[in-house]
Amino acid sequence: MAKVHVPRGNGGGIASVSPAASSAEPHDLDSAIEMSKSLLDLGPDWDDAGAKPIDASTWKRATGFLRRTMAKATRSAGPSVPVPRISPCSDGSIDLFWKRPGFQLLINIQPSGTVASDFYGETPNGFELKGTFDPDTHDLNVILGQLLVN
Amino acid sequence: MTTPWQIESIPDSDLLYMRIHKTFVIDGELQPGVFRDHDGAMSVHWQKYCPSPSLARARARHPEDNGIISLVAGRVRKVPLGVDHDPDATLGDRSHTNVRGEKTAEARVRLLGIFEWCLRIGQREIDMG
Repeated sequence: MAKVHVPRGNGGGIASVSPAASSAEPHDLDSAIEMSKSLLDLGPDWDDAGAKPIDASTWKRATGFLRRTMAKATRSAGPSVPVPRISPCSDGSIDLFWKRPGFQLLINIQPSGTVASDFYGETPNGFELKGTFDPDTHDLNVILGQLLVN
Repeated sequence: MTTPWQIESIPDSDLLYMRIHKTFVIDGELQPGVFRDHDGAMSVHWQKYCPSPSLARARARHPEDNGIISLVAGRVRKVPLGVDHDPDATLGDRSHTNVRGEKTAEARVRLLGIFEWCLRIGQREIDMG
C-alpha cells in the first residue's frame, strides 16, 4: 500500500491508495489517450538536449494507470472529473498533469524498473498531497477525489 | 578541461534563463516535463554572462524550436533547489549554471509557479515596452 504524506491543510495524516480497478470513463479520456500516442513518435534527443524516447511500455503503463484512476474517480465523483494533460519528460517518463482553478495535480509515471513514480497535488487554500507509488498496482483516485473536494 | 573562469556565487536577485523546446509547450502552456535533469542537473544560463534571452536561445542547436523562460535564483533556492555557477569552457559558456536537487513532482509544480516567459517559441524579440 502506498503512503501519502499530508504536510499541511486539513485532513492530515496518512491516506491509503486503493488497488487498481476499472470501470466507466469520462467522455473525452479516450481522445486524450489517443492523442498521447504521438509521444511514441519522439525519437532519441527529441528536445535537442539529449532526451530519451518514450517507450511503448511506459506509455501503456501510464495510460493504463490513468484509465484505472479516472474510472474509479468518475464512479465516486461523477462524470465531471477533468482529464489531465499527458506529456513527455526528457528522462523518458510521462507526466499526467491537472491544472485547474481549484487544484493542481502532477503525477509522474516512470518506466518500469527505474526510480519510483511520484505525485504532488495542491489546492489554493493550502491543502497538499504528495508521495510515491507503484503505477502497476495502485491508482490515485483517492488523491484526485481529495483535491476535487478541497 | 580546466575552465579559465572562476566559479562565482549567484545572488538571489539575479535572473537565470532556460531554453524551452517546443515539445514542452501545449496550447501555449508550459508543461512540467521540461524541469528535468540532464547529466545530473538542469542547465540554465546566468544573466550576468548571458545578458539577453536571445543570446540564451542562440545557444540551442535549433534556436527556432526553442523559447526562453526566466527564473529568479532566490525563488529557485526556495523550491528548494541548488543554484550553482558551472562555467563550461568546452562550450565557451561562462553563463552555464546547474540547478541541482531532485526534480520531484512537487519541485516541478513549484517551478511552474515561478517562471516567466521571455521569448515564446517563434517570437523574434521581446517587447521591452
